[in-house]
Amino acid sequence: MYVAMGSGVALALVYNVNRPFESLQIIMLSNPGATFIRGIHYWSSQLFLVLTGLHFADRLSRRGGNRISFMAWLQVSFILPTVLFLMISGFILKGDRAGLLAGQVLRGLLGTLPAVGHWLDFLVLGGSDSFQVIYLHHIATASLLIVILTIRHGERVLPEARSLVYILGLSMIMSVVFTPGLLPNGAELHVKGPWYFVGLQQILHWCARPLWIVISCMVAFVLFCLLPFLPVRIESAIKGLVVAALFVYLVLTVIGMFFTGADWQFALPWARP
Amino acid sequence: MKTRGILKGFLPLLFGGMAIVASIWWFISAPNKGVKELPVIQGHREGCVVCHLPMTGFNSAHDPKAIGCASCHLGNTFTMDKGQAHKGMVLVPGNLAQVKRTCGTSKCHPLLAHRVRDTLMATGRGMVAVDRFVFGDTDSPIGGGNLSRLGSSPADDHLRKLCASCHLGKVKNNPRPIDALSRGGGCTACHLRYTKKAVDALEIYNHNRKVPDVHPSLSIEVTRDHCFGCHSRSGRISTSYEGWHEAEKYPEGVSHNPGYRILKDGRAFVRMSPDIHFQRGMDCIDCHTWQETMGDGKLHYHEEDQIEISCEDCHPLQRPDTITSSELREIDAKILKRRSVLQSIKRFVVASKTKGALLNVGLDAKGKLIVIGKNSGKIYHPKKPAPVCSNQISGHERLTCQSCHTPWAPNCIRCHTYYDRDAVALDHLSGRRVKGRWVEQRGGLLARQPALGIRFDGKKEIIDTFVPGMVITIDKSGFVRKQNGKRVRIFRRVFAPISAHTTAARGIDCKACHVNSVAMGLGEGLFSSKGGRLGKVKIRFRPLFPLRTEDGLPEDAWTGFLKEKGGTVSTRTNARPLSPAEQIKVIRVGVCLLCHLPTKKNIRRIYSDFPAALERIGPLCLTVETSASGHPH
Repeated sequence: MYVAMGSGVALALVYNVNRPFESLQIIMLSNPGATFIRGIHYWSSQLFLVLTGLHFADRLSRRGGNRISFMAWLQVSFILPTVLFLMISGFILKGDRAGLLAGQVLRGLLGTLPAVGHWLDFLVLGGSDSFQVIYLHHIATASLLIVILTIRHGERVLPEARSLVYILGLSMIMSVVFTPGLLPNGAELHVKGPWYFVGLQQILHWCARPLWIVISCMVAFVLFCLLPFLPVRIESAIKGLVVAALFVYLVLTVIGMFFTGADWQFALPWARP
Repeated sequence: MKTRGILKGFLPLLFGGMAIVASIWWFISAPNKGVKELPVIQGHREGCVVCHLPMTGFNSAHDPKAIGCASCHLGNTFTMDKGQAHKGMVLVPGNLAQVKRTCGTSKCHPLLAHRVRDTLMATGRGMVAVDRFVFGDTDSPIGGGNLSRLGSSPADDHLRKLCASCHLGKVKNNPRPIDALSRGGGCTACHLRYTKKAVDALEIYNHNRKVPDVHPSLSIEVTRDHCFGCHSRSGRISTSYEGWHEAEKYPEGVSHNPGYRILKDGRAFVRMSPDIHFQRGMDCIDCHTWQETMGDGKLHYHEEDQIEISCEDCHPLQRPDTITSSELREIDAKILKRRSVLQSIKRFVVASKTKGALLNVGLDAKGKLIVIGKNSGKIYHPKKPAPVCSNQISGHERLTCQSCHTPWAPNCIRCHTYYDRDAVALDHLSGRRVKGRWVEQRGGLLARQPALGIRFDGKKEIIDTFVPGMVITIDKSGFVRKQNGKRVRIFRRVFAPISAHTTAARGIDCKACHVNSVAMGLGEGLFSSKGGRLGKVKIRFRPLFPLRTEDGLPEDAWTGFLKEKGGTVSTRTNARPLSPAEQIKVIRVGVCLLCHLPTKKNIRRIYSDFPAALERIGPLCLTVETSASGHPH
């Protein structure tokens, strides 16, 4: 988290929220330093998401556990959604075609909520022709929230030096070996979202009513918030259900990433143009 | 424990050190280091041009300064790393499999790129349907089909190994100048032009991998050479147009003989009379329109359905329909803007068949009908049709122009195809050499007048020109299992309509049809007469070629003399040879022509109203005994 935040601050120096795509193009094509920092930001964020996810899975797979207060658990429950929001907002802030489409999908999902949908859309994403609001949430609101939640959950302010070295080192190596790119406009017929949302994209493709997906996610979140306070049998059942759902989502992600082509049709990876 | 402790402290240092070394190495070799200028192309920065400019050879519409490289060649424009930038690139953007993402994007040519994929040139639909029909796979020569999507039936295997290279849908992998061996490549098959400099640059690249700085141009100036590769085969209209007829066997010692031409594929051609339009310097695109070649948005099954032009559009009997430039469709107006040589046309003739504007045919400032060479800019003043073409003579209303103005067409009358399961052949679809080969043993390649037959053009029956589409035996025994121990052989005698592209300025004379068994579809032979009662004669026909055992007809015939030909007769469902009654009608005139030559006086007196003339024939005149029957020998 700290690596992602530090690299994010450095990246903000050259990132232009009014012309996000163009500023990233200039970074990628003529600024080795900023390209490197962007790589670290990207990979440290990915590691943050993966490690957070693994930590959750680890905790969920354990039976029972220590009883904690409702407020403490509520804070924990908000960590994963906040991380996911940080990730998707960062993806949208690229401003390339994939980013714009991801923004549209998110806006569409929020818009399905009756009565509050448009308000939520405005509060979270802002106007459709500006990145100002989502940028604000990415660098300030959500970042501050995740820092607070993580510090309270981990009960420490500074990270362990050794972990910091590993994460920073791995992010640096990944940055130089797999420099994250931008999607050229119009080059791909079939644009996919970030890997962690490809499963959702797959479900959206099959589901005629996106509202059900939004409601399902909200119900799952509420259940998760209530998890430690439910009877042990129900808690275990829900945990099992969550692990199974995560597995299905992983399968959908793999299918979406590697086995779909144009028009969302099944296509083998080597058969795609 | 001590070692573990050391490792615990040492590993992060080692890992951190590795990361720092990797980062330093990356900074030293960063591909985007030192890049100063990043031109904005199509609203974004494009890294390709940093390395690949200057690149010359383009016209303004495809100048990389305007559209960059990735608009056509794809790849990743937002990296300076060569490997990353070239990932996903396409070498030949015109290939129809890619065209949605290249030429056919909404910013470029969405309409044409979409339409062209369904044209006959892209799919070979007619060819596939006829081949399957002839092989007995289907009951009709009309149907879908695509040379890019063939199965494994004998017909499809035959198409894969002999025909599937000639269609726009064929993927072209290696860029090279257009020549007689060029095949496929989608848009680039017609629109790519290699200048001498571009050829040299490509050769240098092929030898030492030096990146070319000259690109072949992308142009609407499609030359005859672009068409020649595919259209010198099958109906051979490209070679016929230039006055060449394929020799049956390769003649020895003729490589420097101006009467012969050896094509790059090794076939030898003999000099014949070229098409008058070729003699005047006209290119294929001077007649054929973009809508015919790139599609009008409709599915057509055969070439004659897709063609929108007709001879009368340039050689009208009456004043043609015209429109002004302001009435042109948007796409026509765009094309006109790019063809500066057409500016002297003030009103554009519309095609009588489709009412589409012919951009190089129209009226000049003085109201005179002109045709302008699209590539050459040469102005032509098309001749008016001769008086005889104005339907002066009753009974000729149904004749197409080419019925009289086609002095010769290639006729292939003897073909035997069999399957050699042990030989190896190239599968044009997969590009691999595979076991099993269709062997064509051909014979009887004749350059002669086409046969006349009847074709229903959707509104009425017309008389048109036909050649043997296939007089063929197909031995499928090697491919399929023998039936009851017998060979699986098919014999077909189907004629195909042809626009031979050998147009002569002067039409053939009356006898060339009325006393010509070839024109009547009987094949070569001699008519003779045997006297009858009261000046009536019985006409006999002796064919030159031997009779085929399969159907009892001469090898080169379409139908029998005064015999009704039933069953499968043509590669079209709407075509047939002359019926016995129609043959009698033709011969009846032919008998008169033997003495009463078609002078102006005789035309007026006899032939303009032939039934009336028959009423007043003299005692010395011969008339045809209608009950006469043919006795072929």
